[in-house]
Amino acid sequence: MEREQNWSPVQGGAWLLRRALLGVATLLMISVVVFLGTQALPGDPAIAILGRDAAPDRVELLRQQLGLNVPVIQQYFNWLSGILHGDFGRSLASRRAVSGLLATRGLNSLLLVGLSAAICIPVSLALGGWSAMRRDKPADLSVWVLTTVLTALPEFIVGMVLVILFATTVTRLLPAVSMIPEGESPFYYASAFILPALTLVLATLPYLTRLFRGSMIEVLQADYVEMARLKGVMERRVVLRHAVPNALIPTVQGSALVLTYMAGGIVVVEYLFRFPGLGSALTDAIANRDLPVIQAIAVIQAALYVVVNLLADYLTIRLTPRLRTSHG
Amino acid sequence: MAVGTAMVALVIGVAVLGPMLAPHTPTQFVQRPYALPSAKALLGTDGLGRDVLSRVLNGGFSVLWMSLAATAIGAALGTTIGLVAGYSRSIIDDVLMWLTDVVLAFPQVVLVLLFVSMLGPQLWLIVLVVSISHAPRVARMVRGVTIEIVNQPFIEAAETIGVPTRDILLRELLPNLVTPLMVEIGLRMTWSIGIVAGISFLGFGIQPPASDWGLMISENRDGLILQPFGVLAPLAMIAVFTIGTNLLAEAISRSASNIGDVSPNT
Amino acid sequence: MNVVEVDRLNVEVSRTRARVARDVCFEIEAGKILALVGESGSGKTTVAMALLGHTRRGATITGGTVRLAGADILSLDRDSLRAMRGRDVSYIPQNPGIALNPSQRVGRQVAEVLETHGIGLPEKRRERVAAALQDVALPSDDAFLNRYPHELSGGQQQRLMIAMAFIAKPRAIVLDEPTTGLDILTQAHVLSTIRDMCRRHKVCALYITHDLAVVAEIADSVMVMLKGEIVEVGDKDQVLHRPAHRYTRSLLAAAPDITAFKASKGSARAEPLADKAKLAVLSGKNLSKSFGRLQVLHGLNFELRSGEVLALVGQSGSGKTTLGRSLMGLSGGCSGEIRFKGDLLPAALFDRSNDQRRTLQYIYQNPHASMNPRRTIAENVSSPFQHFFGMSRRDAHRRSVDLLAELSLPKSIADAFPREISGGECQRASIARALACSPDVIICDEITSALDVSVQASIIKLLQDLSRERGLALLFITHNIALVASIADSVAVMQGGTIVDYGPTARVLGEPRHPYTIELIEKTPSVSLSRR
Repeated sequence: MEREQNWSPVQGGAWLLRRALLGVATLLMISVVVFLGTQALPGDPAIAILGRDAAPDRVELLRQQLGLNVPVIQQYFNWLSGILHGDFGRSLASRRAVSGLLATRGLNSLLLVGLSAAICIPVSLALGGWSAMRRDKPADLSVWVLTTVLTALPEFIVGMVLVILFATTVTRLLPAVSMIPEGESPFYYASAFILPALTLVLATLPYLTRLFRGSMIEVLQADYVEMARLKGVMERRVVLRHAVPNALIPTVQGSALVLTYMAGGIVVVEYLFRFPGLGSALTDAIANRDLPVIQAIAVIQAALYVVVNLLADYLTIRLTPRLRTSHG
Repeated sequence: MAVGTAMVALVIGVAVLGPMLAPHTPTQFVQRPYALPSAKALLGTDGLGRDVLSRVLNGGFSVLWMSLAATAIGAALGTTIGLVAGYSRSIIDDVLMWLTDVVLAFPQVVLVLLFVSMLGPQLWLIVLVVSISHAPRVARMVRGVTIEIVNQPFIEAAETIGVPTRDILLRELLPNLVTPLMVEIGLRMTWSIGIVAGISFLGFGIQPPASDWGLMISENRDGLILQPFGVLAPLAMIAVFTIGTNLLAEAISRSASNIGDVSPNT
Repeated sequence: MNVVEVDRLNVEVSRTRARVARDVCFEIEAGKILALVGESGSGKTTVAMALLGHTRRGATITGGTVRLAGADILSLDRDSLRAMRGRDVSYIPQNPGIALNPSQRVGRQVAEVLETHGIGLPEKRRERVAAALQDVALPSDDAFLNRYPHELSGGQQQRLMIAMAFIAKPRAIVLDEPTTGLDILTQAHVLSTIRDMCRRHKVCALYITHDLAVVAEIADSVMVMLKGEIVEVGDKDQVLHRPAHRYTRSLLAAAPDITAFKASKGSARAEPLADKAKLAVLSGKNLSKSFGRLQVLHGLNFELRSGEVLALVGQSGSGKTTLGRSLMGLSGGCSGEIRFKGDLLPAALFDRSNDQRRTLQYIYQNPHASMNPRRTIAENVSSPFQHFFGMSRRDAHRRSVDLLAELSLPKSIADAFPREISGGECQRASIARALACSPDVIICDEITSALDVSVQASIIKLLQDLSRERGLALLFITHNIALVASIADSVAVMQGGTIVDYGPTARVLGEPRHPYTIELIEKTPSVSLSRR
């Protein structure tokens, strides 16, 4: 069974450093994509924003505001250095600094995603584990049907169904629209979070549930679990001490995916519930062709992916002795 | 399997044949706005007094062709990237995977919106960007399976007996990828529908007064309390479509694991 | 006094109701080792598991009794059964690498047995674990106890399992092929540990194996199992030297034996060797290879003449497979000079001419993995005909069907997919695929180690015939020095990337010169040389 191993045992730290550097490279490339997708397109962004029949002096004013009168390469570097200094420019629609706008909206979105993840992850683990231990029994099959249907549905469909059930046609227990007046603490508006968070949870729950179920089933069949049983270890302990710790490892990456997925999901969900967060800021900005805001939100979204994945890699290494220790 | 096929067939039937069966044109004023179902308008009317049934029958084609096209292009692109990356065993693999990571960093909807923001809501652009956002996801799966297969000696055996690279990719590798690819295409189709309809729902897809399921949900949701069918009917169509494609993907992957593509132990 | 008594045990597969064990009866006395011998699928693991009142997913015990120190195991309730496992009867698995929890420190996993059964005072347990590890000659310091399983070698892992099995002082132990994945020297160490521990603690053992030589080494009595039934039971000497059942005799005949070269001395195999004038068809001079900073081959030299069988023997990590693959030009080849039929052979496969590629062939260890699972056997075998000889698909198919028949494979195999046929049949088909190239040299990389003994014997016979009839030269890579005796003309023994001993088989096995070869031969168990 010998087969050459042409990797040398890399220490976890060195590997992580390599990943971090790669992450920085990815972030740079992301900024290029965002810039190319918006500002560097053929044609004049100023005209695209104001429309073809705009007065020439207004177009010129906007060109100056956006710094479009220098070569494209320099525009990019000006914009990039601004971002690195935390300056995303000024919103064209509200004339305010983009960073200020993003701070208030961002807090709301962060709370929304955090709340959803805090519900989704433990519930999926419980449901997935419960289902795995009842493999092929009715309980497991009903979880299968539920997750198959839920995975298939786009968030806005799930959200609309929730609105129909809880906020309009069937009952009116909850608000269909999330009102959080600007400048007020979102903590006073808990009911505004319920339906958007529930939508995000239902959209991501099936994926993580299935992931953990599969991982548990695999681990429960592992030789070391059988060995623990043959040692006379009590079933409770077999599951909690031998199966779960190993089954949890893949769910770290899975949870990272859920988080980044939610970050994208807020665009539709916030629009649906008119929730004042980053997602609805993006749709508003696109409707207004508010270039600096669009660029800022796209960069933030993508950066989040890089950071979350890096964290997940780190956690996976911490949880896996084989990766953590440097011995071959 | 049968359920999934029936659901998908139903939606395709409605999307393709719907326009011929519709009692009214999608933009015709039929009755007062938000009228409840009646003999004149079986599913009632929308906020502009147009017949909901006719709009549903007319509103499926755009979702259907756009998601099909985006899935097909994305799968082809992703398969090519994944095969090359997985088989190359060189720096090409690292570079391709890094590039996919850049695309993956953008949530699919955000990537589409980014390009739509300046170029405007053009359908070909949406199809193109959705397919580009699918490609890395397909590529990763294909690369993973390819590496798994390449690590089995039969590929090396083919190399030692002098099979040309093109034949190795197309005749030795690709047949082993068919099942996982079909599952992946089913899943990608489910996502395509969701994204395409979602973009319409956000108002950046097909533009009014044309009818489209995603757009209808968005247009009619303010009248939900007066007339729920304007939302319910297109919502049901999208749901049936996505659940159908997902069930098909599920069925393929189940039947594949029953056959067991892996060789038996000795 | 009998510790274990099994009476008319029956086990069925729940879904198909197929019997995997039929009316199995046996008993084991205290301190004795009973070996249960059988080939894959004979039901031996099923019987072993029943001793712990356990069945694998999908199987059920349908009848019979299993008594352990008087207690009827099969009638115990769940809690009493659990209390018995690990304390009164323990289990040592085949592959310790996957039977140890990868995310738990090894000390904890051993201590868990004591905790589970409430044995000893909690503060004394660490001492007791340390003592148990010393018993099996493992380090017992905290640094070792705090290691994770992957930081132990295969032999250490298996000795850890032995320590774990003995720590609660059980009455009986079940061992399921505990040395299968280990090399000969480690196996010898593990076997003597097991024998010693059983005797010292007066524990009786059921030892499952497919290897009769191991039986000779360790057992007091032997039981042979075939298709779920016990066909022969008896004292070790009686079963190994005066077997009563036909199946036992065939197993014994098929078992490779390190002493076999004596019998074959002066036979036809010696002749081609005498022909010294024959030119080497494949030779290597000063072959070296490194993976990164790690050098795995250190300046190797060898010669292979046509019609000769050269065995390359070594334990895992000795570099034998790397040498074979380098000769093929796989994974970048190696440095040094390879001559093939007089010409210098380029290091990398893709630099070699079509003719060179065709006439140097390679056969893999795992036959199923070396066949494209999506194509039929005939399609797999026919691709050399198409690529090297430019035959049409139809001609190539006809030729490969003929070739498969020549290798005495049944007709139906041609249209079967690899997963539908047995390992032995599939390995024959991969030999057919290599022959389809009309090669001069075939490199056989552990091609019998995934097969049952009787199948292994038939493949060896086939290779011998091919080499004699077609003048094929074979480079036979194996970890099993006993196998060498029955096939090779000459032997090269590899250790740590160098060839330490090289010469005609009779010389290397009969009068070994290098200490490593001497140790290897000494530690290789043998049926005919059973030492006790």
